Formats: sequence, structure tokens, C-alpha cells
Amino acid sequence: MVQLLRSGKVIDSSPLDFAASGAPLTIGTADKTLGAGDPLTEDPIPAWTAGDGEDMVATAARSMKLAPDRTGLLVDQSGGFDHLKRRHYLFVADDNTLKRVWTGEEGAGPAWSATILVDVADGHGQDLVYLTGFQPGGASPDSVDAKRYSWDGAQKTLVERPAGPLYAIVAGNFANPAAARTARVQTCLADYSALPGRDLGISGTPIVLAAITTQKSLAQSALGKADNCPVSLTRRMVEVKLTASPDAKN
Amino acid sequence: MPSITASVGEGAVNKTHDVALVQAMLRIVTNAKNLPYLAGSYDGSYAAGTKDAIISFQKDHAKVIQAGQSGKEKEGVVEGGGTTFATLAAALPATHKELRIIPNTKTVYLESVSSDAIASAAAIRSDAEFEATFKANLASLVDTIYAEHRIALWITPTGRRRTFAQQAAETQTHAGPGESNHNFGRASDIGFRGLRWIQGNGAIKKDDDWLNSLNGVSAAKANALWDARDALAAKIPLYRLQFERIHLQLFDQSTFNNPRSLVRLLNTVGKAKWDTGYKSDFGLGGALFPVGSAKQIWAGSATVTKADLANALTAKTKKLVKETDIKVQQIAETQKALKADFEAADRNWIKWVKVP
Repeated sequence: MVQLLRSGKVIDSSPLDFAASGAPLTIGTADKTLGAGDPLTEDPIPAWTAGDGEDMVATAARSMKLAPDRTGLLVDQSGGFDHLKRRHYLFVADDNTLKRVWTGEEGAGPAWSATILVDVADGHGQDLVYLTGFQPGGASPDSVDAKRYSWDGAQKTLVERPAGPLYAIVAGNFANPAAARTARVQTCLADYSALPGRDLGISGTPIVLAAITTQKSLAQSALGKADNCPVSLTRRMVEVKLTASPDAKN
Repeated sequence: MPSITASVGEGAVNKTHDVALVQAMLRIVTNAKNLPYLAGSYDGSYAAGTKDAIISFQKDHAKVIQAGQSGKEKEGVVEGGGTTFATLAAALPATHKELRIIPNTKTVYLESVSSDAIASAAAIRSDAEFEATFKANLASLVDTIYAEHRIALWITPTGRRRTFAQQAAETQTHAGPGESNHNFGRASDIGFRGLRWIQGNGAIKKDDDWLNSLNGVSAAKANALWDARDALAAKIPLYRLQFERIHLQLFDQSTFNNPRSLVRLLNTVGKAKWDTGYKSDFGLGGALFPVGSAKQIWAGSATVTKADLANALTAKTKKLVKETDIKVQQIAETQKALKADFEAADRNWIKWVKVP
């Protein structure tokens, strides 16, 4: 439950999709599976966890500077044990009401997602980058998509705009997704996706292992760390532009 | 062959799924000007646009509709067994002849081919990596959903039993090796095999196993199809998880605990004694000591301390063993022995028993 307070009094509230059990909350830092922040960052984000086993729900909240005079609350949740699912929400206060203006929701299956706040060029606010991935297994390669949202003060909501450049640490060159996944297991590249080289603008490379980030500095840092892996794969950083596949309208 | 469960139209019953199906048919079938009778997207809500589309279709096909019945079918109403519906169905192009919809849903789809469902059920029944009751129940679900809804389900590429090593490589889970329901042949990820659903404009969309395309359009519509699968699964029974839709398993998750069930299996097939929270006697028969997480134990890095091992050896030998007496090699051998118990559990996955 997210509550809007004024002078210490609750004036509005909004439930989250994943209801935590009545078990006591424990506070710690979000692990990578919560999808709160850039996949390659190691900055700690506080998170609350309740329940255990399949009832486990973890929740993190961060402020998002939408504009010089407006702040939103970005909430990330994960639920489950055997399979994890994530939800992400942006709440804003509008007069005396609390509005959920954006939701990121994973569908069924081996999906992952992450919300990343990035400073806009003029330094007056932040954009939200929503990274989503899918790891279907079998003969199909993994996929990663990125969407970028900015605050629209007139519409009082987030609006999508071009994702802009992202950075990928690219490792190896594989004939097919299965070969890439085998290499992924044998190395310390568990968080990498087996992506078609063409998706990253790399020609002549059927499948690569790649980790996507919003910041060049994180990519450079990860590149250094990857050198410590026991199995050597040729790695490099590339600037990429990902776009979500347009879905059919029902 | 499409069918409706009750009348659709002005003053009719207008069940959501019947309205959606008739709307979709009116969106697909075109008039003499090659325009669809229904201009907008189908949505399952009866309104003026649907009424106009029904009447327009009836007027264009008046002779056929009237000839097929003794009395004139009521204008603006499509009856389940009436000639308007039969004429509308007959007018569907060959690509859209086998339209279906599940009661209380809004997504019209095309029937799956029976060979897909038959092959899927056969593959499950012959899968040696599934426990007998589970695979019988799972195959029964495949048979049942095809019989009821003409939908083929199949196991996704990552939906079969996972070895402990495969589990260790999973990143989107909190379950370590031996802690996943997938490790014991009593759970599966079973999705929709190439479901072809009808988009708002009447075009066919072939989806993936997880209904990602439909989910991208409407999570509610995708969830309605998962609900339909799970309604049949519950009768068999098979159980879903709270958050993940693709997964079905033999037991209600609220009736057991995964780590405790693993501990029982370790005690059944391993050499050491184990207790909840992954405590072990190192196979020395005395007190139990915490040895870390399932992931750590499987990785060969169980948290075995020199102090704990010294205490265990002192109790075993009845002679004082000091912490300083313990060699690194002994720690490594103990870690290896603990992992060996996990490997025994992996080999003997069929002996897993649920523990509350």
C-alpha cells in the first residue's frame, strides 16, 4: 500500500498489485532479482521483504525527480520463490490524490525487467528507462527491449520517447543460442542474455552474450570485472539502440 | 466451427464471449464493398455498432437467412441455432473457419490442430523425468483442454525437470539447487502451443508459449486464458503458483515447504544427517552445524568452519580436537561430502516427499 501523507495524516492511498503477507517486514537491500536499478549497478537500494517461500514479496521505493518542482515515487516489487515476477509503478501526488501513472508488468514465463532512473541532459529531472528481457530457452534467442519515459507536465503522466543510446558488454560469438547458454553457465556471465548479434548492430555474429546498461561508466566497470572470469571470452563494449517490438492491437 | 451459447443482439442475452465471437465474425466477414460489417475492434460489449452490423449483415443475406427457417429470424438478433449465425459462419474465409472462444473471456482464437495436442500428451506420458502421477495428471490436462476448448498445450523449452546443476544456473529464481519444484519431476511450465488469436482488426496473431503478444495488448485477456487453463487443471488436480502463470505442479504450494522437503530427501538418500536451515552433522553423527545455503553447498563452498568441524570430530572421537588441528584439506573434503549428499538427492529425485 502506498499512502499520500499531509502533515502526518493519510489523505489518499493506493494498493500495490502484489500484496505482502501479514508476516513481519525485514529491511535490507534489493538484490538484482527485484529489478530496482540498472542491472550492472551495485548501488544498494533499500528494500522491504515479507513472507517466505512462494508468499515472499519484496518491495523497494525510490523518489524520481520528474521536473524541478515535482517528484514521483517509483516502486518495484517482486513476488515468488521458484519463479519470480516483478511489477513496477510510478506514483505521483496530484493535489490531494495519489495517482499511479505508470505500471510495468511482466507476463508469464522466463521474463525479467528493471527500472532505471537517468538524469536528463538539462539536469532538471530524470527519465525512466524500462528494460525488459525474455529468456525462452530452446532454439529461440533471448530478447531485451528498452523503453524510455519522460514526465509530461501538461498531461501529468509519463510519455514514451526514443530510448536513446544504451551500452552493451558483448562476449563471445556463438553459432546458436544453445551454445551461448552453455558458455553462460560455464562462465561468470549468468546475467548475460543470448542475443542475436544483429539486434546489437553486430554483423557476422549469429549470437552473442550481452549485458545491457544505461551508463557507459557501468559498462566500462563491468568490462573490467568480466576479465576476472575463469573462462576467457572476447569481450567488448558497444553502444546499442534497442527498441521494443510493436505488438498487435486487439 | 464457431458456436455461441446464447443469443446476441438487441434485447438478447448478450454474454460477453458470445458478443465477442459474433463481433469478431462481423469484423472478418466483408460486404459487397469489401468492407467489414463491424467497423471497430471486437470487445465483447454489445452496443449500437454491433447492432448495426448484425442488421446490415441480415439485410445483405436476407434471402439465405429467411430460406433457412420457417419464420423470419428477428431483426438485429443472432440466435445460437439460427440461420443468421449459420450464414455468418459460412461466410467466414477459409483462414478463419475454426473460430473459438472460451466462456467468460474476450479473446477469439483459432482451433489448434489435434495432432499438436496428441503429440504433446504423448510426449508427457513418455517423459521419464516426470513422476508418474504428475505426468498422468499433466497429460490429462492436455487432453481435457483440447477436448473442451480445442487448445493445444505443451511444455516450454525450459519447463521440464531441471537437474540441480541446471537449477544452479537459473538467475530469475530464489530457489537454489534442490529447492525448486522443477527439480523433482512434479512441476512443469506448460504453455499454449502456437495459439492463433484474432486481433481487433480480424487478423490472425500467432503467439508464443507464454502469450506474450496477447499480454502486451492486454494482461487481463492473457490472464483470462491462463485462468481457463487453471480452471481445468484444478479439477484434475494440478496447482498453479501465486505469481507465475506458466507453472503447474502436483501439490498445493501452501501444503509444503521446499527447503524442508529437500532436507527430508537429503536424510533419506545422503550420508550425513540434515536439519532445516541446512544444518548438518558432517556425517559424524553428533551435533548439527549450519552449513550455508543450497546454492553454497552445491557450489562446493558450504560454510564449514574449523571450529564446527573440530567440535564435531571431538564428539565423534571422544578426544579433544582443536580448531587449529583442522586442515584446509579437511574443510574441503567436508564441503565435498556435503555436496555429494545433494548429488545423491539429485539422482534420487523420484524419492522426494513433500514436507509441510
